[in-house]
Amino acid sequence: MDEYQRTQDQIHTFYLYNFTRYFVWPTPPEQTFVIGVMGEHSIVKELTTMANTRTVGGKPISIRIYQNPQEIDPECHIVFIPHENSYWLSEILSVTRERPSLIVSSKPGLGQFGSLLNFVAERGKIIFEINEEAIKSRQLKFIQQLKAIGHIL
Amino acid sequence: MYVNEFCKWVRNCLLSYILMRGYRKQLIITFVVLKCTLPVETVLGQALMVDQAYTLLKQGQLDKSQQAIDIAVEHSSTINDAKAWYLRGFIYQKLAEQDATSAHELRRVSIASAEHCLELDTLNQFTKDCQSLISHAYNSFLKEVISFLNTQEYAEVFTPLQPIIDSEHVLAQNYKPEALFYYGYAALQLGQRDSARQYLFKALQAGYQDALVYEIEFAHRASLLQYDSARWYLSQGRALFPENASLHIAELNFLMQQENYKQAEQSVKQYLQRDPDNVEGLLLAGTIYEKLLAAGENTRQYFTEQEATYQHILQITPDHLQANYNLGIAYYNRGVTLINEAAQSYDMDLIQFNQLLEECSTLFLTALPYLEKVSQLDRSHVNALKALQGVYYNINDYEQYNLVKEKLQKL
Repeated sequence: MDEYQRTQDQIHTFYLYNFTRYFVWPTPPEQTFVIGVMGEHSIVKELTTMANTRTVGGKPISIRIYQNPQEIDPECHIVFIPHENSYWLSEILSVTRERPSLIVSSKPGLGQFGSLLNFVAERGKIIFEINEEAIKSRQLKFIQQLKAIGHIL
Repeated sequence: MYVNEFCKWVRNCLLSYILMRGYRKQLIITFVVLKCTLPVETVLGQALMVDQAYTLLKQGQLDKSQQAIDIAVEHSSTINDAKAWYLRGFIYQKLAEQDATSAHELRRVSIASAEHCLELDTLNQFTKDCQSLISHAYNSFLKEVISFLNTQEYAEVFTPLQPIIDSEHVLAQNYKPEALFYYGYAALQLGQRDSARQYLFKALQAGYQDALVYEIEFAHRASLLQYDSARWYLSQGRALFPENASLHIAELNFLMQQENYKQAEQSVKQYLQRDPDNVEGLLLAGTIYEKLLAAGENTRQYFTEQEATYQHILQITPDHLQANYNLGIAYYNRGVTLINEAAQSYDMDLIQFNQLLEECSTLFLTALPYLEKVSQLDRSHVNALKALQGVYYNINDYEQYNLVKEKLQKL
């Protein structure tokens, strides 16, 4: 893996972990807080490193890799779709429609297509778009401070 | 008495004839002369031959003067005559001045004759003159050497230096250190590093003081991993020649090799105080700041110093490939480092992290024109393309990222 990819993974990992502090799920995690990644991706290494030293609501963080949307666990709290696997978005949205899963993508335009949070670049800086309507429909709540950083769609 | 006077007259006439007609007839006529003079005074005969050589010399007839003196110094009656040997040294010196093609050999004979004269001259009648002859010959050799060095004909300097280097005579000792140095210097220029070091070291042992001697000896010791010894030569050289740029650069390289970046920082600042626009010094300074940055000391300060250093080079030479590349990489690496540091804590406030990303993206965008320039200056610069790939990836410009990726794949 190239160093520059690692930097991106670190930024995404930092954000994904911090989303756990800015979002409120309708029910707290029972055993573990689950973060799923769609497909094999270098971010898994960074997420695993983070999960080794962090907890969410006093529960350990579990990192899972899903090879297709059907594999997504019902208790998965965050689903991250790497840029390369963006084509799975609509199927993921469909599979997780009734669940309080925070779907996070990383390709320009996916916020408009129903992704709850979407990483984009603005003048070279990674920011994220917030699809407030989609978040509400999943019974998820977020701290308003997040709006100071993200772009509301 | 009458017979003797007559024989003297005949002998003198014939001597003149010998010297006028050349060496071939000389032996035959010498025989006649000797027959005629014998049993008068053989010693007197050869002493007059010396006088004759002197007379011919005064008349400007150098070749004949040479022949006469050569006979005189070989003859048993004058072979131990200091005057004859001095005169021979003098005549050969004059011959060397007139015959450039044989000058080396003639000068060697002049030195040897003068040295022999000094051995014979128990009354010190010719001491000063002989010393002058020897000095003159050595100076002539050195003058010739310097002329070759000035015209960078390094291979030519060895022959004129050899007589000085080979001589064991006390007078040669004054010239030997310089000769050894020139020999080593020429060898160095011809890439004969081992020979160069050997002669330069001998020059140092003989008392010759030049920064190059210390530089080469230091480099040799360092290459043998004899660091204490290498450091000694370096510090001695630096103390003796504080203004010598080459030695200063050698010191900087050594300090960097030893990873003594703090001392290297002080040293490079001294270097740049003396020569602020020296690109080599500025590049070294940039590298030192980069190392100090990597060590995690005063990172913001050293990054600023590094940035200013490379920008200084680009003010002097805007198309300097290495400076453009180093500056681009410095910006890029700074951005990556800031992200690495922040991302590892995970607990930084999101707003603060957002501000940090703002700073990083500015650094990435600032890096771009410098790395693009490198890529323009050298289209096959793989490292610049890799860095560009990283920058475009990190600013999420996937279109440019893919273009660079294609270029890299073609390379």
